[in-house]
Amino acid sequence: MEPVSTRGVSDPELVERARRGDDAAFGTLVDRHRTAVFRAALAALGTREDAEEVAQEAFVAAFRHLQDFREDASFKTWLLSIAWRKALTRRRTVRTFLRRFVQPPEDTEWQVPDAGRTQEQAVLDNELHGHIRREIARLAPKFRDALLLASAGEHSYNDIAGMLGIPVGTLKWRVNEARRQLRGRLAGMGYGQGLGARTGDRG
Amino acid sequence: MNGNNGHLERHSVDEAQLDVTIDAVARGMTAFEPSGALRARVLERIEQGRRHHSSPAVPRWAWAGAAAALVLAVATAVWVARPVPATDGAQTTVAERRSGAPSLAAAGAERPVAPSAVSPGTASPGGGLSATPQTRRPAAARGVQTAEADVVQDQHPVPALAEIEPLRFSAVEPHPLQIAAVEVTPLPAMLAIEIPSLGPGLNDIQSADPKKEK
Repeated sequence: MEPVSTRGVSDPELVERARRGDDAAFGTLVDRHRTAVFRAALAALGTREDAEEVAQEAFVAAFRHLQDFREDASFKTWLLSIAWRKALTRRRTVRTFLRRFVQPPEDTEWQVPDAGRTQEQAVLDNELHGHIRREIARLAPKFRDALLLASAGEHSYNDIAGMLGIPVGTLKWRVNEARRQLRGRLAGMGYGQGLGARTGDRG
Repeated sequence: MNGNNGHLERHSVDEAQLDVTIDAVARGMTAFEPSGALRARVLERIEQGRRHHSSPAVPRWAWAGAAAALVLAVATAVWVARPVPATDGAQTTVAERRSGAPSLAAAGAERPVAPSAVSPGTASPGGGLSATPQTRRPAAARGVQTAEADVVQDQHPVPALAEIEPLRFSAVEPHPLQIAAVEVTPLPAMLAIEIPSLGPGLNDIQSADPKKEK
């Protein structure tokens, strides 16, 4: 929770205070955007350890370059751009590259809300979710990144487009393309419409 | 067919519902919170960076100068300590220079021999590396000095090393040329040549007047 002294203070004001040496103001900025930065890094890297490290590096780098921040863009977008570049740099390392093959993406603790599901349905849903996670990990990076960032719920399309350096239209296309590819792969596993024809059961 | 009903039921997910499920699963893949210590760690790293970049007691350029001076000092020491090449007729050694012993003559004057150079273990521990008259030893008779002998040698005056036998070379210059003396004898007297006259009145050809002769 933000301290009272900075509650309701805008990001530009906090940035200005931080430039004048107010570390507490920068700490407030960290608290405000820590989740967004962390999840952006997690979307790129797939492991919490790497995402945590990159998030720290991103905030430290942002502090050191506060003088370079121009207020034509939002501080959050600028910060996310820094975090994304650092995440991509780390992703290009051999260690991180190999880890993606050896260690699958973090198994989410998130579960489908158990609203009136039968036990059988829960098992089937979990099976489907497992397939979807694995297929998302197999997507090309540009589609996977777009889908994960858009689905994270922490970033607007403008933020994501600014982070990735692409137009918003391209971002939306990539997200839709990612979904289309996933549907196609899942259909090959028997999910989605048209399964009746595959199994031969038309009844 | 009936057996397939469960199969159909399991996969009866329409496209729209599948999209929703895909988005939900994708969201779940990043639905984590960073550690609560993120802020503290960030501020700590910022503080560490400030301490690192704060002006040091010694400016950076001074370290470069000190390093250059150190390199120069080492190079100078190496150059000074280099072995001096032996001059003509003077077989000196480092030991001689240290002990102040006279330099060897080329003819190979007798010199005291360092016992440590003779064989290891023969040096007296009481520092008795005093110079004693020794016979000449060939240079090949010097053995490897042990570490002990080196230490003892450093603590006491070092006598001159074994005399070096001068090399003897056979004369290589060729024999001088021997050229036989040449006697020049005078030429014998030449006989006079008598030229007979060609006729009367023709003795003086040059003075003859062609007109007069007619």
